[in-house]
Amino acid sequence: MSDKKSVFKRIRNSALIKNPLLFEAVGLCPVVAIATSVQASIFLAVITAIEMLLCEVLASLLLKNVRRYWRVALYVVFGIIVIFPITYITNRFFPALSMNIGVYLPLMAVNSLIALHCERVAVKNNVKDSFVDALSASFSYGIVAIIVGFLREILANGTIWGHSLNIPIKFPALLMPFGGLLVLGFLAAALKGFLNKKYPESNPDKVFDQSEIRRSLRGTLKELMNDEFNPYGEENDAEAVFVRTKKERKKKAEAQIKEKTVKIKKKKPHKKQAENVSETEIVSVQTETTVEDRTYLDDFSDMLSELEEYKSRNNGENNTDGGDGE
Amino acid sequence: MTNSTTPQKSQEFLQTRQIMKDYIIMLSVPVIAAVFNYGLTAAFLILLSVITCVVCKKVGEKIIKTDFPSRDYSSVVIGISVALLLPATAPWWMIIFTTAFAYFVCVMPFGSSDNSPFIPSVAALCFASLCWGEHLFNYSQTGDSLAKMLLQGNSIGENIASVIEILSGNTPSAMGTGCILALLGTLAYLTIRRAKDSIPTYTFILAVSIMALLFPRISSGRFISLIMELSSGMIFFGAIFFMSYPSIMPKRTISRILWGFVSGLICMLIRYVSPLEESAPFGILIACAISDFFDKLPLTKKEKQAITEEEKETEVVEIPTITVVPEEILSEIPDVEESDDSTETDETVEETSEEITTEAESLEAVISEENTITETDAPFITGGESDE
Amino acid sequence: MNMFLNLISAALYVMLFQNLIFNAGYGLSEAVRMSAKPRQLVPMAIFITYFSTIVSAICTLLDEIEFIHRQGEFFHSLIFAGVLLGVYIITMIGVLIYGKVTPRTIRRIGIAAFNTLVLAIPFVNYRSGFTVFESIGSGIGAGIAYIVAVLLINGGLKRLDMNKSIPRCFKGTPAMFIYTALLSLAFTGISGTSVFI
Repeated sequence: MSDKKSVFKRIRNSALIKNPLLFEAVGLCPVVAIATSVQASIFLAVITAIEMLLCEVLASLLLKNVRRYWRVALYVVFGIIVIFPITYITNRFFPALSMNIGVYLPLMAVNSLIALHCERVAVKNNVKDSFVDALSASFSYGIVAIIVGFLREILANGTIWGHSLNIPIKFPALLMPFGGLLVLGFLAAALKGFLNKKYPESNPDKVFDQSEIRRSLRGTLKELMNDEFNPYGEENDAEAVFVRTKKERKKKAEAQIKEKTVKIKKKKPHKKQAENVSETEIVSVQTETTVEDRTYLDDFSDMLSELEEYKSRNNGENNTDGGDGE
Repeated sequence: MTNSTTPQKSQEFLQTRQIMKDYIIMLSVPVIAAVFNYGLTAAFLILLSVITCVVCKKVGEKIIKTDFPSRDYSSVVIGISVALLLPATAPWWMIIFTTAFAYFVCVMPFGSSDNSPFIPSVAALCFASLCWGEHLFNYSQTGDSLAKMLLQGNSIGENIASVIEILSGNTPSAMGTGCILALLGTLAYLTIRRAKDSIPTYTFILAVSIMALLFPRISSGRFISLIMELSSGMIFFGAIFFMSYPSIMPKRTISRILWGFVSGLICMLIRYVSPLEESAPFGILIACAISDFFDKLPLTKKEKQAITEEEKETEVVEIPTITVVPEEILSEIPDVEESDDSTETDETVEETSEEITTEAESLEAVISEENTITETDAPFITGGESDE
Repeated sequence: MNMFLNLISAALYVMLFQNLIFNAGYGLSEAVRMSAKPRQLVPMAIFITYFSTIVSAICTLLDEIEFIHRQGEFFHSLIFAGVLLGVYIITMIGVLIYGKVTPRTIRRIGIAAFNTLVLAIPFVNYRSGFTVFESIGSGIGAGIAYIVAVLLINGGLKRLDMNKSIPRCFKGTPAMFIYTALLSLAFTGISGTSVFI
């Protein structure tokens, strides 16, 4: 039961807080271009779900020991294996739908949503977790695509599934990519408003990282090439480096923990330590503290204690009376 | 809806209100010309547009729960300008939806019309021209509009009577964009009232004129091409009302000159290639998007001089202050304990001792300058070195 | 001279008249995500231009073969995907042999190669009946269109970041989508209502 609950929770989180379309801005091209009717949106949602499930499960099963630069090509191969037969069948048996979708169907083989989730989740977790992730991501992507298609079909054509609703006023411009982006913007705002009310602790803004917006794009080519680039959420290049065996992965994780501990110990030399606390406990406590936990009083007290120390050292050296004013 | 405002926000609000009042005065001239040319229908459509915009604003403020009073007349300005860009034969629902688009898409998501990165009326017109082109370009007068004639390469001919008809607004056009003479009066008001804000208007018109003279779309003379290009569509109206929008244009004078000129070129290039009858509003949207880039141009000599003079006037001499820590706080400071790792302690002690020496030196420098602090007042400072 | 003019006109076509990103939505995710990281613009634009030009040229050259030319669009789409994979593999082999490339650059190459913008270019060339030089021009135009899109969206994001009056529910991606929508509206006016794909 708790497994079912956690799966449900993950799907809910993926659909609401980490929605790939509305908050991560991934996989926009097919939705913006194809999702102009309910029929096309459902088709898009189903194909994306099949592609995601297949790619993530296969990546989790087969690609963990493959280097990243070959993995990204294999995702495209998996995409081709899924998409091109569907393209052939659609061209053959549903020509009207095929005309509507046009060239966007084969382009779904290189959907960025697939590569992102496979790299972030599938190759770092087991098959079950990858399956659940694929299910949650494709569900959240599909549901938004269907809503977008539904709204655009009603507002632009005045129909639902091809059946006219006799709406006198229509907005045909919404069938263009501009319309798709507009609908996505308002849907994202509506979802965000709902999250602010119902789950105020959730922070969907963090999902789309805008911390580097103000950085200048000027610089030499070498500087720009060496700039940090982390599309899959890894902390540093070392983490991104391919690690072949379980033993190496364990060693790497231990080395990272040690590095973090040494850094934190260097930062806070005068932090009061409990006497009977073991080293591992200290490590676990210290790794959890962040810079924001320190207040102004902590900084000020550190400064004063350093001054006191210097004073006492110099008093000892020079044998002077002045200083304390006591 | 709370009414908490900061003084800066109040100042900005008053500034915006003043600018909007100027716009309302300027817009009254084409409104009068529209009512004169098209009768009470024009008055009704303009009123409907204003009421729609005000209602949309109230509804929008309730939805987003804004906490800043918004009686800055921006909704009136948007309502009037949207209506003047539409023809007198526009159906009532087209006015309502176009105005609603202007508010809900271009104003509400960005907080206020001041903060909108695009001009609401222009974006609304672009939307309307893609959705309801057959209504937008259906004018009450018989014959083709100037924009359509230029698109097809047709000319009005070389007689003065045609030119006078164009200037007096006797050609098929939108309600407020046809009467060029009225708009010239508005331009004069803008120049007198807000000279710096009118710079992009003039450079925009200059760019349009140069393109019309150098690359005419008609074969009956460059002068006629110039008159037709400037009088067709919403180019002249847009130059006066939209190129002078303070929140959109760049801040520096040289940037405004260049931005206005480049925007004129973009509008004319789009006119030459677009299949739409009126495509200048799309050029103005692109101009809104690129305005920030013009502020990043290198500073001119005059601007550099002005900045250094300003800095000299506002230079503040920093007087360092030293706070005396009361004993109650001193007693709360925890004692320094040595860490287990001796190498780390040595490193940190070295680092902190370096920091302390630099701090002590700076404090001593302060004492020697100020000479106002006694030993009893500042026990820390005199503890370092002694004169004995 | 004629070939050079054809190249320029094809580049302008995909850049302005039928802007691939704003009019057709190709590569929109990459443009939006890179606009939040402006320092990645130059390296990514170089790689995207490289892949789109090479893939575009090779696909058009292959189309000159009678057997391939006679096949339908489905067979062509298989060829285009295969060429993209082949170009990527050859590029990676070259990069690995060279050796002095950081993992960051390798990540960039992967993302630049496999995106809808690069794969769409051969389709655009095929449907428009472009020659080899025009295909090269459209590849270069795609790279420039990408740069223009990222710069425009980044300019908007900076403005939105400075704007403290944005309502809470519109902060972040909602306002960004609406801004990008209005940019797309502006570019639609250049082409009119019809998009050729």
